[in-house]
Amino acid sequence: MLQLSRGLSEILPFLAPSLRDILGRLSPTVVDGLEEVRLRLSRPLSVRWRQNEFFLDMKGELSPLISGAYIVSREEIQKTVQLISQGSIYAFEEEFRQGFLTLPGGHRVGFTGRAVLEGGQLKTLRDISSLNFRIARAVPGASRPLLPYVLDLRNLRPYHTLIVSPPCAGKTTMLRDLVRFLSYGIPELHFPALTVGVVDERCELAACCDGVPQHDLGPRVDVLDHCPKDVGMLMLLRSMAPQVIATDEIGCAGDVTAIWEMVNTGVSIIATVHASSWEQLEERPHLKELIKSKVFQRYIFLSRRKGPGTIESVWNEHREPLVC
Amino acid sequence: MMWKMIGALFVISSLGMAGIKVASYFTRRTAELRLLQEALQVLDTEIVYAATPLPAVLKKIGQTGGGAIAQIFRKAGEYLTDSQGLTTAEAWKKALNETFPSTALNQDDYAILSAFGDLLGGSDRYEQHKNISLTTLHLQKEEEKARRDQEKNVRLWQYGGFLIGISIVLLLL
Repeated sequence: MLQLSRGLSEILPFLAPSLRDILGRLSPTVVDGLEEVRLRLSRPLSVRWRQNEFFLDMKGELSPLISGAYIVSREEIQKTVQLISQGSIYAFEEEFRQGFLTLPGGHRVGFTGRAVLEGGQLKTLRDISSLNFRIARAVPGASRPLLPYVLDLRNLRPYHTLIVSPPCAGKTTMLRDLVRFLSYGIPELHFPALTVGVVDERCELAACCDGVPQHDLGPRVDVLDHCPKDVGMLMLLRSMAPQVIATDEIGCAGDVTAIWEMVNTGVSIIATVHASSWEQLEERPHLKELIKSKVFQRYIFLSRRKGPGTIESVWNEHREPLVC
Repeated sequence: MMWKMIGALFVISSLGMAGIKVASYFTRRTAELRLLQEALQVLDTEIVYAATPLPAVLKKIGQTGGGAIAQIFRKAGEYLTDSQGLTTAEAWKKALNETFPSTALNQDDYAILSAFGDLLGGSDRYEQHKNISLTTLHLQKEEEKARRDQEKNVRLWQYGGFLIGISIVLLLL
């Protein structure tokens, strides 16, 4: 269902030149379905293609076997870290502490290495040993099938909606597309454009680079970048008078408290959460109360069954299925 | 007689100009060491307070002056963004090596700047501040030495060239 946009060509300049050569030899078919590029120190160079991980040899050929695979050197890792950070580790201290940063185009690089602690808290990561380039996908129209269930056409506002899915099943892409629809307005449904506030703590939803969203979220979106969700939602509410607030991956106590404060302010909340089923969702300690109190009026469950972004079911606040 | 006069003037002016050139080297080195410290001050502010990425800071410093010192920063900034895949240390070293011959800096200054480039950009703000402070301290010491050399040598070379020229002319006559 999801398609690749721009993709590999945008991440190549951030890879060590020797790795660019190898990835530059990938066939167009592979480039089209490429999801991730993984660099692991002294281990084979690999890519995730059509939901499976393959190793790459010098010629850019994919293989499930380790033999013949290209081994990533320390110098290549160091060069790549330099390139993604523009040679300025100090300018990305927060990103190194969080373990990821966003590249132009909205692509995200996750990394692991040696953790440096200060007073028991993670201060930063050093000696980076693994990098994962996740190729961002904007899929205009991905959330179109959800619109009839998410939009309250009588009150001309979206319902409080929770998008539920396991990792890598397209919940952020779906949320991003919903935000885009709301921000542009939906003339065919006679639904007006709304002002949307986005709290993008993980810098994935809007993927701002130098303050500019790298994904098209429409003209009526205000993004609070890198801001903790609980603080950000209330800040947006006070400062930008949004009609909708969207945020990704809620779950901690602070997020839930902020949502409680917002539900009766007239602002619609659209959020995502990690879970695969109702059972898992209800096991999340802080979310349990929200579900019980029927705060969210729509629950959308996604999976990767037919590819990322597969809509499994849509439920209302009474746990009655609208789509199954 | 006419030719002798022309020859004498030529010898005196050539040696005089050579002396002035050597003298200007001492003045230029002091000025360049000062400019380097000022550039590092800007770099420190941009890194510590604004956390601005290096390509932008280096280019900004590079645009503030047209001399060889500004050129080192400008070129390093350009090499970081030209898709060659150079690390900061490599970009700095390349810019330094290309520009060094057109400066009045000596090998001690080169060693200080080279060591500075090895650590540039590769750590957090606190470590970067330490690297910049240490480099500034070394440059300050070099500037003090350069100033002493300047005081000792500028007059000597400025007049020395002409005096040697005159002496040679007198001997030949």
